[in-house]
Amino acid sequence: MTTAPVANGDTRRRRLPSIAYLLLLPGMAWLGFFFIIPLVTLVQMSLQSGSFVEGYTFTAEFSNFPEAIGDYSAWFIRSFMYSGIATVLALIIGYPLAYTIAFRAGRFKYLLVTLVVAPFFASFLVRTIAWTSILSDTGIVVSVLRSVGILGAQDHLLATPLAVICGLTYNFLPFMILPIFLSLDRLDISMVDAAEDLYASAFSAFRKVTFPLSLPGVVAGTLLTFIPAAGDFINAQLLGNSSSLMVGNVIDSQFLRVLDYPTAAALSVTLMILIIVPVSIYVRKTSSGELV
Amino acid sequence: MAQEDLDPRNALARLLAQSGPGMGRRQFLKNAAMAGFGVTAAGTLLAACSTDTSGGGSGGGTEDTSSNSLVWANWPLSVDTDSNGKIPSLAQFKKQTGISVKYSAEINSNDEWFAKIQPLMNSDQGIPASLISPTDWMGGRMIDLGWVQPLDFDRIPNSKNLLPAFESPPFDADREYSLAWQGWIAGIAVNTEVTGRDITSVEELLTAPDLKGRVSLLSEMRETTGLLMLSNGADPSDFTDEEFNAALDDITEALDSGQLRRFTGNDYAPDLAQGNIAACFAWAGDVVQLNNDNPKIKFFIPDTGAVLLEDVLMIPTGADNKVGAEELINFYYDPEIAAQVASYVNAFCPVEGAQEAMKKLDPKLADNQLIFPDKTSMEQMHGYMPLDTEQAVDYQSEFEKTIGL
Repeated sequence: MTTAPVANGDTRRRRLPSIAYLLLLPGMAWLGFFFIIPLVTLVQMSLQSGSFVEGYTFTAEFSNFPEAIGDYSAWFIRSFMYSGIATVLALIIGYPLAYTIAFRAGRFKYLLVTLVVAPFFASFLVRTIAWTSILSDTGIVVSVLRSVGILGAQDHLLATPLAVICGLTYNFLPFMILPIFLSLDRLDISMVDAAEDLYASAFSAFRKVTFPLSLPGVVAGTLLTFIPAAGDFINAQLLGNSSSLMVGNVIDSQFLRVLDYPTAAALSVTLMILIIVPVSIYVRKTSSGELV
Repeated sequence: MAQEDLDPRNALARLLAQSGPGMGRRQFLKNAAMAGFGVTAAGTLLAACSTDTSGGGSGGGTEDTSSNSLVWANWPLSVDTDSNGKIPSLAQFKKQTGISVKYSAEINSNDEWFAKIQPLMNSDQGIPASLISPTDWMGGRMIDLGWVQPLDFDRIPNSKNLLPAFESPPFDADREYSLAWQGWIAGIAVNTEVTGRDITSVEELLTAPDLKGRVSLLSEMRETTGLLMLSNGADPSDFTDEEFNAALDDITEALDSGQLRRFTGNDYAPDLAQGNIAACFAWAGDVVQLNNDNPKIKFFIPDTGAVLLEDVLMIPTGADNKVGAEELINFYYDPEIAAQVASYVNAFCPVEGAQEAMKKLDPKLADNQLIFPDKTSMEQMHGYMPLDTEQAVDYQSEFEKTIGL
């Protein structure tokens, strides 16, 4: 009578890991099929040599990487510059908006959150094309800027780097707002009250309490904005010109039109590494509190 | 190579269905419906939800390859389509032959489509389609690769209706593997409301000071370099490396001078409609439809000549129901049916007798030189030299570098 429960307990303990592994199985299978295998294929392709006509074969051609980076460094720099600016702009626009929704919107809080998400009901492409109307030469934005003398009569906004950055900022803004809102919404407001009780000004309370506590949302938001923006090519294609194309456009061109698969794959892998390294440093620093 | 209609429902349907990279020019014309003509997003979005993006053929499922059905891989909206997204001509074909056709609107760009089918064709798995309609140069590549099979013209008696202009294209000189589906004329589109004049010269397009920053060229190599070569006195159907490079130099010069705003697929349509672009290289079929909404938008065959390309009808190697596919080709070479399609698509119709048939359907369209060009117009049109895959890759690589990639 006394040993039975122990035996059952042991059995349960022994079974737990295998159940956990079983539960992990669908996720791991998904990752394996849709992430690991494509990633390995991409890396393998980036080390091939040959031509489209003769066929590409794996020859561990590491020189593809320096060649691709050398030929297209300007496109990499441009991509990171545009996506960096778009991320900063999204943070500047998104943080106050998330703050207002979290603390000032009252019963309209979730309605406003829904409105932030609403653009996602239209496709990415449609949202981007909408900017061709907004920034049209005959549209209100250009007309106003011309009338106040910021733009000359022949100047335009479409087909410029500014239009690309506007498009990137707009398209990824909800990715910035939502995580920040979630962080702020979960924030224990009594912490802010306590700071103010201790004679902190509103700004000090925000700087010392609210912002640090919302940092996980800021980190998530900046990553969710920066990473897809760096690899994006739709905005540059629709809103930019030939001197504002991004590395995503080059990859598209190399894969689909030039049919140089190893170069395209090398560019893709390089982009991935160039994103992962700074992002890892950023996450480490923010999680250790160094950026606060 | 095809144009799209300007029905905003179709526009959003396609955009929603294809919100991915590498947009082909067809999909962009419909953007004009939104961006250029101020369609409200909510209304179009709701309408889009009810639109059949697959073309709404009268046929059955995508993989049905039994003898009384087949799949036709084509461009979106490249066939007559009613307001419910159904295809009347395919319903007629089914009634006539008992064969159901699934119109698979899967070719949004030749390059993307090629990337999609390449692994299947290379591994001899074949593709589900029994009939395909890529653009001629892609058709030529598929012939080179052995991915298509010869047509049995005994089963296509209506092929006698093929217009002489299409009888011997460079990519399939003996018409062994293909017949023309629709012709696409590349020339100059002008928003005369902006320019205040017609523009019929490529040189004027690239140098006129009042057009500075308001000109776009096509991101399609053959159309853009072909028109530039014609302007330089070269023949795009038989050119040298030097002549090709001279066309690239023209592009570089126009870019450096600030004359060019950007390179487009058929997304020039909204820019042209809004006046952002004053004039551009364009496809005639697109402009015929833009012209219906704004008569000030006009298409001109340049003084130095236009480039003519075609979408083709071909049967892939290993296709199911080859006989049915050939019956379908024969069906569309009936002048009455060809006119029915042309009245919707507005592309250059390659079928003899369709112009007469069009007179009953739409007399105005029957007189349209861009759908039914006369002999004089035809003399101004030039094909593009067939390139083997290696040449095509080399030229494309140079062209991409020139346009900023």
